[in-house]
Amino acid sequence: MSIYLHQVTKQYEDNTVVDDVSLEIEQGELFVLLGPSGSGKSTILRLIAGLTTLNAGKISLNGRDVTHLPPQKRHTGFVFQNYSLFQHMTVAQNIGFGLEIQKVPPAQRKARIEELLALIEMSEYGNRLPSQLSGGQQQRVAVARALAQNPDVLLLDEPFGALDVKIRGQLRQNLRSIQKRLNVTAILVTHDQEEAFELADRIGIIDKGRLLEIGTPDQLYRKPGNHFTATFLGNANLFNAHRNGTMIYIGENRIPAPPNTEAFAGKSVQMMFRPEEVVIVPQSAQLNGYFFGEGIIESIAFAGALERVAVKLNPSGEIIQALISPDISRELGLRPGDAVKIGVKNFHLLPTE
Amino acid sequence: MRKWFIIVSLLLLAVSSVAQAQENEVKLTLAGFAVPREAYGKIIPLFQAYWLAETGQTVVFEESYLASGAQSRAVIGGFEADIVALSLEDHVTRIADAGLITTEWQNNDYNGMVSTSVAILLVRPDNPAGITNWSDVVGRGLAVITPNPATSGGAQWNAMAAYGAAYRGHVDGYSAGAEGALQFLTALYTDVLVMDADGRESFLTFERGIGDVAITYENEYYAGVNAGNGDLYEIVYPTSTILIENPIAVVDVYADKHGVREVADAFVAFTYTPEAQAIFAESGFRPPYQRVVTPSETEGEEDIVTLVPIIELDETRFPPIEDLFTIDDFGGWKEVVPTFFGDEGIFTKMITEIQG
Amino acid sequence: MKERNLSLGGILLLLVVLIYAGVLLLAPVAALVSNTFKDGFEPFWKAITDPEALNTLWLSMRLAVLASIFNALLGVMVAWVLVRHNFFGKGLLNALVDLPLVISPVIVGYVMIVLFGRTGWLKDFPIKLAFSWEGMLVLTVFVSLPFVIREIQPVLAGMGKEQEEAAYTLGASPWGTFWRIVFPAIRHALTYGIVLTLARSLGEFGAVAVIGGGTQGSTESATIYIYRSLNDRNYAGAYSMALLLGVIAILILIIMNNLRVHKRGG
Repeated sequence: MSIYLHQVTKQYEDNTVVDDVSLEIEQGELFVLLGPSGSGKSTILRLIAGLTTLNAGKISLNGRDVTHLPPQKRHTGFVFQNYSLFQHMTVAQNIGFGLEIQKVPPAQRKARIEELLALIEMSEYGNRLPSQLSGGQQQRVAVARALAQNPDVLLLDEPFGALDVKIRGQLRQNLRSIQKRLNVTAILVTHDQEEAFELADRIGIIDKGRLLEIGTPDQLYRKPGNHFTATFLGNANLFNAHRNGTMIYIGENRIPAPPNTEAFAGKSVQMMFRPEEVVIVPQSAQLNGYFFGEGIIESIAFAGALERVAVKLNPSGEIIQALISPDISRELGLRPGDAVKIGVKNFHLLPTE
Repeated sequence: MRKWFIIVSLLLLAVSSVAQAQENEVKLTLAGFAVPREAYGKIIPLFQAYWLAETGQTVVFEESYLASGAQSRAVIGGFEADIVALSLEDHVTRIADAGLITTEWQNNDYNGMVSTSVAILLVRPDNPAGITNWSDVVGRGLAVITPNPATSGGAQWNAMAAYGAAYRGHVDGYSAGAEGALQFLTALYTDVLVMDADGRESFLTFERGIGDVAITYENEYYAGVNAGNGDLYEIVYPTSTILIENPIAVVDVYADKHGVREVADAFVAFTYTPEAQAIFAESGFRPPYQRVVTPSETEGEEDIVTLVPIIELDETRFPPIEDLFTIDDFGGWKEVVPTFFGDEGIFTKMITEIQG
Repeated sequence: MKERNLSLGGILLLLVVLIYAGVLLLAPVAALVSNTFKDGFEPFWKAITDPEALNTLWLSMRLAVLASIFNALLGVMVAWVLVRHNFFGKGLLNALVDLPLVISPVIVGYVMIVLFGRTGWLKDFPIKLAFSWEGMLVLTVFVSLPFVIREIQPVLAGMGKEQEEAAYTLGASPWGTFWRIVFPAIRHALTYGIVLTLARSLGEFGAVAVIGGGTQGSTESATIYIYRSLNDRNYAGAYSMALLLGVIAILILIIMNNLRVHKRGG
């Protein structure tokens, strides 16, 4: 176990910002803490690094209890959102700072700095000052500085938050490949679900200081365990339903219950499906998937590779979001105002709130 | 690190410069008002030589010269001067009232005063305005320069000189007595152009060419002459003016605390010697005046007090004044300060009215 | 290429600024220099080599250097606390820092005498502060207190604490972090703050005159000497000392700037 948090709690006066969080992260894993701003995810990172003291709980890194150790003794590498490079030091001095503190001999230090500069593909930039670098370059230097002493864990606090959307993708790939190559355990904090999906081995969803659930990106997206995860990770169609016997009852309609949902037997549930699971056909056509209901097309909007279709359900008036390929839309001749049949390819059950 | 090296070196230098006291040496602290600094600067070496010859002891002086009132407050506040030489009797009285002077400091032939002067009129060379006496100063649109009695104790002499002259019937056009005197004072201060914070500043203002006539002191005039500025002004003696008396006293509590009573008393006594008084005279100060009392021959009338200088005056330098009076004629400073210069004082009210 | 066509308002503004600077800055300096050397160089030399004058200058420099050391150390601490810590009364403390700029130094001097004088509440304070050079030092520290703090504060606030935290996670101790990360960042501000402190300290008159009592040879600073010389018609002494003080202040500025350049080069 590389990182182990046990019932960690942090309070500021009456305000609980981290609430009883327990977490285990494997060696070499890239774990993403995902949550809205103010959810407490950055505080968890700071607690691990020792930059903030906790009120209760226990933190271990590589089997070492660090709960009460100062940040200097935790062997973490921290990458701050604004990079926080030492402004009066060159890139090389920044990267070598920790090594110098540890009194690594100059020759060894120099070799390590060069190695890291090569790793971040900035070998030519050793003598530059941070102010002479672009944001992306500064971010890479910050990563190299954090990695210089082979930390037990790399902690990244919104490392791409201040960068242009354009270069974020490139930098994510760089970070991901460096992390995998060095096999360093990392926790990355972000509020951007796309970033989380792209990078994470596993994601932890944080809301109001509580770690709601943990899973792979795919798991959390398709089969979220709760309402918050379902809606935070992209658009979701949610309907109150009831599971009885082998069927799910949604209003007048009923659909066979999916496997492994026996736990909800005889209970009110929420039925959830992503817009891309929705099938829309003209009333006369044959529906592929479970029949969900009938409705009128409210609007059709261009959304890049797909079209975003909003359908108003009869008779409840609820809106269903659908993503369908423009080809199919054209083929079927869908237009706003058309009466359609609505189907669902896959769906998932959530406990009611 | 070089900067820190420099700073640390400076620090060490600063610390190492603390003065070292020597044996067989006695230290006297003199707190004086600003004007007689030069005179004391010359008297002190004489006294040091005298004391060394007399006792074999070296006297080291610490001298401080500030405005008289500030000096008085400082001594009361804890500035441990062994001797005070101030411009106003009242400033010494306050120190005595604070319990720091425990002996009868005025109980000598000189009433505790060490130097005197008289309030005079200062005019431009060749007296273009034709000023010969107080009455020529007012009501003619002349710009008058005199210090502010509210900020300067010394300036209260000037106001009382003018008031007293009129009160005693020596200002033409104003009736003798309180009413006429106040009228004259009002007329005079109405014509004041600049009221500086103290006597010396006021004098220097006139010296810089501002104003037509200044009310100032004879000793200031001679200080100006000694500084080579005698061609910038002329002195006019009014027929009636006040005798300005500057007290000197040992501050008993401090002198005893420092164990210097003997030498402090000796210094005060030394300031009355002819050689010390000669230096005062050179600086423009008159000697102390004794009050010679002639008992009245008629029953019920007040005794006649004559003012007699303790050293014969060089009359070309210090001409006799026809009607010389003292603050005692108005009840002494103890009475004059509240009556005239207090918050509800005659002078304070008058100035407020003028300044509207 | 800069905009060259000034509007009428622009020209007026420029004129006002030039006149302002000319009248307030250049004219007094020019008058001082011309008055000092009115009768040639000799009176100046004689005036500034007068032992009495040198003594007062020495006292002023001692006060200024010591006050600067105090205020550099305490200023960094106060600025640090104000920026990095939250505590009850922080707003008040922050407001109080400016007090020396708005309160008359003479009044502070007088309050000191009331406090530490013969009958004051703190009359038994172990160090004699009323009418002593130590008291002058305390007041010099007081009047020049805001400069270092106010120079450093925005720099500390601007750099945020992440650089320090980054240093912590890299193994640097708080003290090491201060010297290697914070100090280099605030160095320029600190230097400038010290220069202002020195200049302000050298120029202080009212407070030190009141608290020191102006005793010649012991508590007479250069500024008190200037004042006394003016009153004594020793104009050569007054002008020369004033000029000398000005020159020293400018030299301090230049030396500090040079040290800064060397530091960067090395």
